[in-house]
Amino acid sequence: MLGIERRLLLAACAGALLAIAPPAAPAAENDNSTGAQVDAAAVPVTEVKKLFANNCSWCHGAYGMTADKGPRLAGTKMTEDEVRERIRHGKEGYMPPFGKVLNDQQIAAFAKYIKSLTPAD
Amino acid sequence: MKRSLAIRTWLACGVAAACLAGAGVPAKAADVDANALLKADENPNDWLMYHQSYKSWHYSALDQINANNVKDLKVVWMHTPGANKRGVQSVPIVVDGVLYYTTSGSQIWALDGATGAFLWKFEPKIDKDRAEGTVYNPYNRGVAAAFGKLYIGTADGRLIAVDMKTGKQVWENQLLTTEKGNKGYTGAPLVVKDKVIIGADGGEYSGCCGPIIAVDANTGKVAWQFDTIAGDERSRASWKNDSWKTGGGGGWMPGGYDPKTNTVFWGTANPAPDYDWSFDKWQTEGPRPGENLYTSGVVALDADTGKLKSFFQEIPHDNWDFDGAVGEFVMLDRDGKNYVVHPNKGGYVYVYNRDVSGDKLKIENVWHLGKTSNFIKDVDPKTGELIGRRELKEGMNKQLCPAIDGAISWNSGSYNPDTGLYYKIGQEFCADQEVVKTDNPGAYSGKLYLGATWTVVPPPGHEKAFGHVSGRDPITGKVAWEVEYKYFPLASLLSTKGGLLFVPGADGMLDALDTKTGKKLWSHNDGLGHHGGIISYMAGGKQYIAVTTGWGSHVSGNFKPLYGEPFASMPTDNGQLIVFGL
Repeated sequence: MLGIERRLLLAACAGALLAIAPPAAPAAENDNSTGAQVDAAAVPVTEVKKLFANNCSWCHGAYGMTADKGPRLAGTKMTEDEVRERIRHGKEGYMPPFGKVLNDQQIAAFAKYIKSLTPAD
Repeated sequence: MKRSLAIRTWLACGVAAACLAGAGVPAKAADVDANALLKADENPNDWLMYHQSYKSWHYSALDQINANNVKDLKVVWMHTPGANKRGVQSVPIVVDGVLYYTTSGSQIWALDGATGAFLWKFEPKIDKDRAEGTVYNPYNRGVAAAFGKLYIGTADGRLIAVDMKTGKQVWENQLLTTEKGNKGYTGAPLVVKDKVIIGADGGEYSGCCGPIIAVDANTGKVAWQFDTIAGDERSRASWKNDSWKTGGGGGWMPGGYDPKTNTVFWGTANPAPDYDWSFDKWQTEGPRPGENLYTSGVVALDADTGKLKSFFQEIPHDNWDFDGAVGEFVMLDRDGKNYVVHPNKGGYVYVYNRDVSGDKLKIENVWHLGKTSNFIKDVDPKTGELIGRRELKEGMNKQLCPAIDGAISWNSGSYNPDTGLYYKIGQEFCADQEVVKTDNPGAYSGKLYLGATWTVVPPPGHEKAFGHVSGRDPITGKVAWEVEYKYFPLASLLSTKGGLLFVPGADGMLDALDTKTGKKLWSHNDGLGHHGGIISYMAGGKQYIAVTTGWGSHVSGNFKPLYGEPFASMPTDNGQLIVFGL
């Protein structure tokens, strides 16, 4: 149950970030992306949840399960790739880019987690 | 010709003499000097600074518009600045019939106060890579004016001076670097004598040291700096394990000034992480063991040197994000005592004596504006000590009240000398708060450091969040009247000699209440929520009321989950300036 909840939370977070799905943003010069293949599963859910608490909660409620300042992440219509790009590049004027804050694996894990979330309603 | 010239000269002299003879002479832009600022409260025709005067009363001594004729108040002009991400949040100012206000990205607009005619616009080039890196971007809440210049902070950490007549940049200074974390400016500066003072944002970010900086108003050269954290040994000792290196801090709204003692009062921001999992062991354990001086309180600084004279930490080891930066500093003199009244975000209003000779500010009283809070049981009104702290445990803490955005927000109240009442907004909502033992993001890393996730909820015993506006004795807190608001207002208040209290509502309604009773006398739908400022001024012999609209601030983001519509569909990339007259 807890695992599901955590997955839901992550999905919610990602959804908020992705709610207004843009085309994948061009690579920015100001991020940590290496372009290398990453393994999202290498970052455990507990780690993603901690990162969420520090970085996402300002705008995304209850690990993204509820709408708050930002949209609800659970149930986002964005693809996992789009979620990744939104986390990396942000949304000008609304969401900071996290390309310098999180590494590729963490971003991939976030995206996977967010896409795993299912809205409660 | 000679006769005509003589008559014109005589008339001009007569008008000038008449103007100069009375109080309330509109200041010419170039004449706004230290003395004009000292007497801003005696000049109701202009609105010279964010808080109107050093007394921070947000009061207009104009009474053309009054309780008898407010029914005839109507829109006389509007200004639409265009795309304005996260809404207009500023308090306008007026100098000599020219209105200046700011919008997102630190844009300044200069408009004719009588007609709204465009005069100029200033748009600084922002370092987007840096500004976009914080959750406060692209907020801007206003300018300061003096010596023919406007002063404005930017989200990328600069202070800029702009010529008031032309809108051209005079100087800029990159006051904040990223060496110790990414901080910027969203609040308006304060001019005191020959200096411009501004405080940094960034309480939520790993870094140091939340500086309040004063610069020479003419050159932009730094005159002094006070670090709200780790600037002295006492502060460092209150952050065990060198946790000040990730401690946040700041002073993101303008402070006040008491010329009697040449003291600047400034509210300080919260420490990072905002939430601490160490429960009742915070003195020795957790991410920032200790009291975390000088966060979440008030510092009293020498205006010339920035040296700390006195302080009071309203929330020692703040574990709820209830900083002191939000509150205005209402200066009052009563029965031979000099008071400064300062609201804290937690919902308690601190009444200090303005005697700054002691190490700590002397508490005269503390009264409670909030209604549903449970983060503490009370505050000792004699000592200011928190009673019955609700420490947070790792994991879920249900119905923590108020929520992170407090029972009092950064909008300003209004003191009216005609009624002797202080008008202030209270907001009532809570959060189910899950505190998370997160990893340290690294010293000076400039990374968000919140330490929790949450869901906003109505207060216990209430189906919905709500708000209230009350008129109270500012020293005792005794209620003269109170009006409940379904949606808690987020904008500043304005009271006038005309017996009116203007309340810009969250749902777009602008109300005028009777200052003596709270009875609603007039209302107008501005079409969009308010979370900026409202002022009054005179132009061409006529009184105006100017209010900003726009929605999208951090606190306004709670309205969607708390209320649904009309906030779910309210745009967050818009806003206007709306000006009313008879």
